[in-house]
Amino acid sequence: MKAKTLLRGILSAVILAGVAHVGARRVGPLPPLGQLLDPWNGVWAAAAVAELPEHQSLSLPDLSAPVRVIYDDRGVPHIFASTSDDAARALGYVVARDRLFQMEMRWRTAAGRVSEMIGEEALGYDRYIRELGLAWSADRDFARFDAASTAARNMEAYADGVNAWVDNLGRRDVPLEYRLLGATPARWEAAYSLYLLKQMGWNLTYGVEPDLRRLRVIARVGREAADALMPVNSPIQQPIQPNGSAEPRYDFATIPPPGAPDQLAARLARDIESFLGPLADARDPDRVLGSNNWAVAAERTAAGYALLSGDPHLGLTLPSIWYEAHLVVPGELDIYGVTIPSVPAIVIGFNRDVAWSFTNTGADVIDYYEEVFDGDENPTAYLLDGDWRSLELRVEEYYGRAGALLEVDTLYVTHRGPVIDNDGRMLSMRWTVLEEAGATDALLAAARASNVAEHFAAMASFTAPAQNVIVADRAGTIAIRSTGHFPVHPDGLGNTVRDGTRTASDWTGYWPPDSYPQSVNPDQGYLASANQQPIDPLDGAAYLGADWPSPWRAMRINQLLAANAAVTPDDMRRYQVDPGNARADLFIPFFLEAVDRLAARGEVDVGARRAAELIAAWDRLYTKDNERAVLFHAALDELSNRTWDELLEAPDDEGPPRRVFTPSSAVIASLLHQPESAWWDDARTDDVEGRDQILVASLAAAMQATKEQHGEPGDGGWRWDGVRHANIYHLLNMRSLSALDLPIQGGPGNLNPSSGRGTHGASWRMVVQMGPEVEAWSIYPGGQSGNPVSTRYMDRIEKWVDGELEPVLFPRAASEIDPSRVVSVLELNPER
Amino acid sequence: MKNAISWLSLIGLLALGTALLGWWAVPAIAAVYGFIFPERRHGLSTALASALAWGLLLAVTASQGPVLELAAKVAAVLTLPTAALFAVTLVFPALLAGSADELTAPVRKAALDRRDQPVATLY
Repeated sequence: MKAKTLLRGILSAVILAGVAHVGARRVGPLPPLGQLLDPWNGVWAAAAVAELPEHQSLSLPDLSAPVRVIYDDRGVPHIFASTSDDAARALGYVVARDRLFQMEMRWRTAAGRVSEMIGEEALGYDRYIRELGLAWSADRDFARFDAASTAARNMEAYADGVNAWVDNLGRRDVPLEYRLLGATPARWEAAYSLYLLKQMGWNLTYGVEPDLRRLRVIARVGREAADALMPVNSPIQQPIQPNGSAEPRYDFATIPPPGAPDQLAARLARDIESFLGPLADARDPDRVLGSNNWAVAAERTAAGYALLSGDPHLGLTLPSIWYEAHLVVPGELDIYGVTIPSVPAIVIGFNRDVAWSFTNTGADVIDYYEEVFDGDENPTAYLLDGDWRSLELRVEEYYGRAGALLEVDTLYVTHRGPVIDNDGRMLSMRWTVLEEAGATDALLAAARASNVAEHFAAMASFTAPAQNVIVADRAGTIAIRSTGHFPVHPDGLGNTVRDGTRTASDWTGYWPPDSYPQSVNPDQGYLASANQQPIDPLDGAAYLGADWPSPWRAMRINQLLAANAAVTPDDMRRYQVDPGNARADLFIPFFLEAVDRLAARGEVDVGARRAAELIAAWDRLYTKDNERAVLFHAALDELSNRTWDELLEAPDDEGPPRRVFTPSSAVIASLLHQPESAWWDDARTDDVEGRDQILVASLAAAMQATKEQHGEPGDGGWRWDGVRHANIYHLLNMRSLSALDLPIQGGPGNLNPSSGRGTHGASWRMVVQMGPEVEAWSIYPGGQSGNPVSTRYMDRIEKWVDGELEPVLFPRAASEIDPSRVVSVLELNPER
Repeated sequence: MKNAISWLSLIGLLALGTALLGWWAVPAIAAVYGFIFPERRHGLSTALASALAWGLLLAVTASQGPVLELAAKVAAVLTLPTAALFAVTLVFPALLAGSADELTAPVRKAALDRRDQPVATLY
């Protein structure tokens, strides 16, 4: 009997210890199950706190006066405050309430402190990010801020607001993701707002790899060919600053044949690549990041008021990068638009007098310098103009999930920036994003502008990431300017690795704002940017960058705007998802004519002939139900594969050869005018091909590949919405928290583009009519809440997919909001 | 009747304890229960009580928001069927409470047995 009791006791103890262990501790990928499964305080609580309470009143430290926050039926908080600091404090509070996990992920991602939350598997990422120095430069910038400045005060107030939410976080309020990771929310620091801006700068420099790709191309085919494949000036000019012509200007220069490999470039590329990581195969012919904005002058609109469209394209995530909000401080601020959770400012939006939006300029704002140090191990100085100059040392410590020290790195900094150390060969990096930041104060000042001139003046202090800022005001003025720090390079170019031992290699300054590409009230009556080269080289601008994205979107929007002298807000909405494609318009005649020419010589097979018939009958629209776009897209892929075979690089290991770079489709367009160029020959075949042979072979191969993948034409498998989708992943890539396989209208080169994986696209769409009373419409792919089971988590996606916009409420006072549209009221009172 | 009231009270205590103190309250309350009432053989009934307590809390949470939708999403993250997530949520406290009860009840019983032995043996 006693033995049985003992046995029961031992068994119970084992079970209890085992279950308590998995309850309290992480086991493998599983978070502690006790906290997770608790039906009141655990993961289940996310369901209970999914919606906003109808009314809530609470105290907030350091508020100077009560703040009233009214959430409308789109989940947008309208914040009515007495001072801008109070408005920033309230904004921090409400954004944290909806997006706390996203905010923490953002600053950790920029700071290289993801390991502390995710675990050791993020250590490699963290080390890379810290070597880039994003948080290091943000902290340095923040320390330089005048504490009494609006920017510093607003960032501190915003941090207070976030921390008011974090400090009083009930156990039921902890976001779902923390529970799944077994993590605890951290407090917010004011400098984190700058981390976010630095991270945006990193994303919008298109990473830091363009110079590296250029080196790889030089290594492969020599400098002369590389210069032509990555031209300083786009072969098709439809610039942001109008050049006097509504039509694009074609500047198809001769592209020299592939040259001899360059060993020096190969060595430099290897060095940089060892730091940045191996370059990905460059099969995607056009960059996936891109944005549009355009404005129409009052005389070309139906209502006689200026119209502005904001359409930034970014990586799509759930929750969205954007958070919609309205800030009202009587006599000082009345601004509506989107903020990025982390930033105490409306980034894109409008006030009572001015509307604005951004596209990325994509200028060359990064350079590498080859340095000489006083030793390979633990260097202390670098050579500069014959003298040794002290290195700045940074010691970076990396911690894991439980606070254990994982790694310690010593990093070096020259007067130019962070050093890339590769087995004794040292490269330093100078990058405008790491220079003193002027983004926050510029955005805050711009929000207070009452006309285009004031907006331009406010944005003059904007440093990085350089943006094409489009503005329309209530007086009917429209304007655009490429704004940010553009380096003045000593040799007029910025696409080579420089000698770091001479100060003569350094940038000599930045462009003055007056010389930025810009236009105010042009004769054509509209302005547009879509990441294209900002200024026509014939207009005499200095070097701003190279290898500009093909201007297909710019061509299409210019075409649409030029054809419409009475634009309405709904036209603006339609243009944002317009299915027309300037690339198809340019390439299709070449395909068809090549088939005709070779057919006359009996050199076209059945597949190519059938493909030509199908493409000839295509309306060239990327609508969801279109069944020809897929064939054209495949044909362009095949064309690219056959044309750029010289850029395939033998692998170092057993992997397949990678293409080190894919010239833009505008460069292929240029090559189409050289039918006998050596580039057309596919070296992998015995024949010597010219342009027409490659075009026809591409069509035939596309036909075969499309049939293999999607069946016979006409059987329904070729529908564009069955081929291309938008995929909006949750920040942690958890599929069940994501919105996947969304059918969209648009493809590569469209105003509403889709990338191969569908993970980039229109992140925010806005149309603003600058009439006596400003009217606006907007949408973004997601919802205001970060809670995956909230009705506000992805409530806007359906309309976004359909290209619809929602009218926004823009009340001057709380009393102007129709009570039937109020879903929640939050009263924030000063703490007594 | 007395047993039923005591058992229902246990359910209430387990639910309240979880809501106020968190999941650790489950083994703690079950252990105290086993210690106070060592004569009853209630390991299974304590396990059942804790499962019901968590089920009750889950039902209240479900009345406040979309628990089914949440279960489907979280279960997918954990690569579990949705029903399994519910099952695990009920089995977890049952194992905690049942084992805690089973562990402490004999301890108390042994202590009582030792106390009740005749003192005369000392002579």
